[in-house]
Amino acid sequence: MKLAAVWTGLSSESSTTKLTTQVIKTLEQQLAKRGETLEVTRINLHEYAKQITFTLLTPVPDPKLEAAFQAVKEADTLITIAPIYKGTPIGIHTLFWQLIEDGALWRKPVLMGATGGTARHSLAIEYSMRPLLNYLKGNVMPSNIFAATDDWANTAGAAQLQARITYATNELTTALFAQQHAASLAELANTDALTTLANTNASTSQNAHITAVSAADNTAAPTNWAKPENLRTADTIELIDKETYLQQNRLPKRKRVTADLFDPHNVTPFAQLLGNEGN
Amino acid sequence: MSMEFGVFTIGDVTTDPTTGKTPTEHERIKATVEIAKHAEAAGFDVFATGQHHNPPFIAPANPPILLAYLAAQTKKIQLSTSTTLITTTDPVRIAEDYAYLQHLTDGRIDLMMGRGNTGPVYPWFGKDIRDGIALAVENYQLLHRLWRETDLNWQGRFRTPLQYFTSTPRPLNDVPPFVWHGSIRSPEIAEQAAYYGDGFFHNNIFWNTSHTARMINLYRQRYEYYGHGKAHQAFVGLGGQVFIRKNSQDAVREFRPYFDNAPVYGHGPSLEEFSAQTPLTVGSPAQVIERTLSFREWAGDYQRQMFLIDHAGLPLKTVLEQIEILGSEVLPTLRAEFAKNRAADVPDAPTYAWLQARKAAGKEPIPGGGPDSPAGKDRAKNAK
Repeated sequence: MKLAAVWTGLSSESSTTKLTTQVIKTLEQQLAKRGETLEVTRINLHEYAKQITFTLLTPVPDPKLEAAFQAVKEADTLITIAPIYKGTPIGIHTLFWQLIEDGALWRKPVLMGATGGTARHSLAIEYSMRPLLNYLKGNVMPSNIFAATDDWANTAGAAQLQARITYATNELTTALFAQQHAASLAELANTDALTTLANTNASTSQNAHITAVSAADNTAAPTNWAKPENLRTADTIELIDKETYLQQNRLPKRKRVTADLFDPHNVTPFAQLLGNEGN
Repeated sequence: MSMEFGVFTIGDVTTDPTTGKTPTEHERIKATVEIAKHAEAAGFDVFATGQHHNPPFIAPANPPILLAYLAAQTKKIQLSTSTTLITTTDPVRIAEDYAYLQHLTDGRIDLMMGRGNTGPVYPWFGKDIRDGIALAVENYQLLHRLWRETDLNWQGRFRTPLQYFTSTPRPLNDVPPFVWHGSIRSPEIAEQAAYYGDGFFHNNIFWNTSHTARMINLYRQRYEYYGHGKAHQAFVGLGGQVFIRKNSQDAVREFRPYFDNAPVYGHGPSLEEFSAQTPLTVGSPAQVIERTLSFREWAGDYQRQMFLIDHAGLPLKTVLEQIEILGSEVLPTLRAEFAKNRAADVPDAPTYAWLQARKAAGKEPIPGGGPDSPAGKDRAKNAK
């Protein structure tokens, strides 16, 4: 799983960087529990400030910034954390998201976070970051993480902060897995595999629960759904050990495809642009 | 001659940052004429003008006006555009005016289609910038037909319909001028150029080399797909931007204030950073030669190399000097070096005579490819 972490840590002691590191670590742990590894691309906008500004001043795209945009587009999920200055996320952070192409976050679960002096400014995430990330078509989590200075200062604050981090990252991993699973179901539904599965012994297949459903589908009228005999009960589930369960329920590796518009194979054929079939 | 070398201008009216003086529109228009004549005298093959409708530009709103005047003032330099606005100009007027120019110049013209990068222009001519690509596609399709068909019945989205319309005058000897399609970042335009078998031009100056290379590669491969020839035989043109002095430090020192204050790239990356990322070359003749020759490595053998010289507020005197230096110390070497190892089956820059001969031989490209082309075969396959 690919995670892109985009944050703005302006000083070497930046609490935004600390928060980002903590969130990434928590995410890694949660994914590990589900048998997944996390491949993290770290983008601290402090290192891109010049490139971001130049993009406003010249028409030439900057290769370093383009690479960052590309990493975001190729990620499965995203966290983005900004320091709040004067009641709003620091400008350079907003600018990054304003410069990436429209819809760049399509279908990506996104977790927002921010740091600030006191909890007074925690709603800055809601009214400033959320609309922007929604515009980019991100699947933005309802919860987010705000860390005030106090949260770093004492153990009580730190424990509460970690609890908030765990809660919010849990939301993200759940959304991520649900989405990936839905996608793989959709892929499955598009093939004949579903019908094939329905006709084989269900209990040994990876997607046994789908099979049970589809068996009812193929052989009987919809009214059969209501009949309890068609529903799986505890007796019909084969008990397996955790290792095998994780093995069987590993999410299929989906090939990440980001369209290269300059690849001749991806070009829109001119006849289509002309709006008629062939000349 | 196999490759053409030219000068192009976008007709900007820019303050000279070293003196604070801004040329008047009159001065700049007259300067443009001087530049074109000087380019011919210095040995350049092409002069091209942009098209603009707003300050701070004096590029003509209708390039044929300027080009007709230049044709009368010159003898052999090819006249072209950089670009003709195919989006906001009525294709009927383009067909009429450039055909007229063709007659006046005995074919000594070609033109480059562009969409224009000035947003506000679109609504002035009743268009919407969001339709940019669709406009370029529909308008050029109409222009292509206007030059090849009489009594045309046509209907489209962006212009009132035409019934039994014949654009006048007909192209010279019914051989329309060669058309280049220019685009910095839109693959649709590379595809358009490939579809018609027209040329593809990349101005190469405000873009990274790697991106430019991919656009050209896209055009070349689609050109072959549409059966107009092999990929390496497609018609490619490139822009370039240079400032030259005998000694490279002098060039950098003299040009830096112009660069730093230029409206287009001033106050952004430094001259050195910009030169590293784009083809801008500020230095000695040898450096310019070396850099320009390197374009072939990623663009393949190409037909036209254009230079932007009168930009950033450079005074006329300096621009004319630059043209002379280029003409005497750079072009001869470029011609000789580009000719070496140029594949024998790569066509030369298309001249009117060449276009006439091509038509007489019945070898004009078929838009979309004939039945024997890969595109034609795909169409036949899909039809089944």
